[in-house]
Amino acid sequence: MSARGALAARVVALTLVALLAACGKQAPPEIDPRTLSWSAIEQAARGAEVHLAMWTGDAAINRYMQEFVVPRLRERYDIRLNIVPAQGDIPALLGNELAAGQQRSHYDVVWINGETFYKLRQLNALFGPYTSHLPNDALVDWRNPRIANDFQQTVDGYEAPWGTVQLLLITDSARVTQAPQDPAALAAWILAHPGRFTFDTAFTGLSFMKSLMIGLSPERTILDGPFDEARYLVARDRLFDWLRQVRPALWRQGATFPRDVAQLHQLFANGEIDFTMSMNDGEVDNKVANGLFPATATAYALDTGTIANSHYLGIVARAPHKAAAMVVINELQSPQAQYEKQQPKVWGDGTVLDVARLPAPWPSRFAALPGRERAPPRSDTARRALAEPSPQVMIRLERDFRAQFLGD
Amino acid sequence: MRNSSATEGRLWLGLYALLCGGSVALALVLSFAHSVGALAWPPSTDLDWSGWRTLFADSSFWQALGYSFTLTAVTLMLAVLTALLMLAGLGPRLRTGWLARALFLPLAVPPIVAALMAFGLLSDSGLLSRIAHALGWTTTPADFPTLIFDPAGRGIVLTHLAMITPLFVLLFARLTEHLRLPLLLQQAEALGASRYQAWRRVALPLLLQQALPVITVYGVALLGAYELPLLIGAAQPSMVSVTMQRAIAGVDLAQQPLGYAMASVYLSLLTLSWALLSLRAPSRTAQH
Repeated sequence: MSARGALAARVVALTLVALLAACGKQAPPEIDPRTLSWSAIEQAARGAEVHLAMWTGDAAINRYMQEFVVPRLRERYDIRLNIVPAQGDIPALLGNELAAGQQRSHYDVVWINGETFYKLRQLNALFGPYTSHLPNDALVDWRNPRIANDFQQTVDGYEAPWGTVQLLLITDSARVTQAPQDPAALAAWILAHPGRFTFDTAFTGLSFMKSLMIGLSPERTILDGPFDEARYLVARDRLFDWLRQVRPALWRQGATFPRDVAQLHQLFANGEIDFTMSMNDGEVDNKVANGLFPATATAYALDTGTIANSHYLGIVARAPHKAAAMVVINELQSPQAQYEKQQPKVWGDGTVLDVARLPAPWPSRFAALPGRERAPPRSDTARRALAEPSPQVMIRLERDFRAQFLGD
Repeated sequence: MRNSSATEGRLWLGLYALLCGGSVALALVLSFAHSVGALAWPPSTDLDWSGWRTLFADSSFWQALGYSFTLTAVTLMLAVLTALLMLAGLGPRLRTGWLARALFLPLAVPPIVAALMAFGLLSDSGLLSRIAHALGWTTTPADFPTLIFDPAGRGIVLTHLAMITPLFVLLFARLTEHLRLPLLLQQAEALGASRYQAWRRVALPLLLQQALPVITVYGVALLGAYELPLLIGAAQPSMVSVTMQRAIAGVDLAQQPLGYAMASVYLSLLTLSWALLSLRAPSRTAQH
């Protein structure tokens, strides 16, 4: 297409989008909340309605948000928190708003990490740096590299840590008496028990494969740093050799895989397979407490390690209520909210706070949190935590896996 | 007075055209614009045709389209056949009483609930599998035929069949009444046709001809079905809506132009098919 043609196509498209967005009001000039004191920010936040775009696929997380966070924000700050379902489409949603010239976004806060953060930074769609202006930021464990780095990217004050997770395998100790502890033992177990193991093709399954890519390599730092094609291919080929070896003994002979972790959990809960997995290391207790998994379900990390990462909260660059968004995020990082969230029966999500530095009585309260009954203590699994590789590893792995194992 | 009435008529006509054609045209323009990065942010000086190049170089969309057409055709054929058999078997009883009212029940079930019911019934550990196990026909869940997450899509077909067959039964029952089929069948038989011949030569052509628009509309809905294929379909092959959604909202954001290129082609194919059918419709009406 000629340059004139391309220009015409763009003008037509942008006119249509602009027409759709024309109903939006012109935004009045806004004061940057970073220039205000915290008490002035809290004052400015009163009465605001904050839209938080987040994944809403887990009933326990939804309950925590609706039954703990929403009422607390309403009572303490007169903020109405409106949760909007979204996931991987957040960059597309915000990109469309920017392309349409929308002065004010429909969203204030977004729940993000990894690839989404990377893309939003590319789009200049995030407000910041802002995290150092939050009072509770001083309590965050920034010395932990898995909190200070999001998929090998420094967060640079553009996203506030909210929780930490680690991939754990979940099995039923009544059915699997000796759980395999490393990739070689897992392969032997799969081959000895045809049809009883699989993994999903979405985020959790990809995290499992990334863990194996590192675990099968003699060099544990093989995927550290920026994306490196040659190192990726070496790790990928080791993983694919492992997968080809076990494939005939996978569920449905490896001809198909569950689409996401919810389907995988369903197969495990129905007794069709003996393993599931979760990127939330507290999920096993939660699912048992809710009666979804058998009481004999247990979780563990492979000796060769499993992927661990953090998830974050960002503020949209054109958010209509930035001051209120900062108050919401500060509240979500508060010891009370983090303590509630970490309870296995609530969500089981790891805290991002440096518990030892918290004011009394929080260190003792965190120490007295009901222990994880069906997963090893965090201090134990953390020793087997592997750093999340750069976002491009997951993108390439998904594409290559689909091409080589699903015939895409 | 007449002028104002004519203006009002044109206004309503314009609104009608906008509603019917405008929304599709807008969706087509927007999906095309997204597919070439015309709405990308930050703006680029060049259009990005990588999505379209991948679309034609890669077979995944065409496989998904073929898979969707196959499952839709099989579902429609089975639904029509089952509905006609029920009509022939139950006859006038389908027009009144509880049998007629019961037909509305499956129509009220939303696809997401139907998917959950299908899972509970048809999965390897579902009710049917448990019954088979209790009867000693199977020893493990894996012995039960694969119906859920099935690459052949049998679970999708069966669930869609359960959802739409009652509608076709209702439709055929109403048409039977409207076309006075019992009378026509009686006359055909009086003229020497057997019951089978009367059905095949008289009832079937009339019923299918009258029901074709509704069957086509349901075919389009099945072709673009999303919830059922997502919840009980295999990861691969996947139906066209699931394939498009995965490209648009998957982990690889670079796949978005490809997803929108798929949406543009899909919408264009549907619009083209509609145009061809519309062009054929007046001549067929004239023949009759």
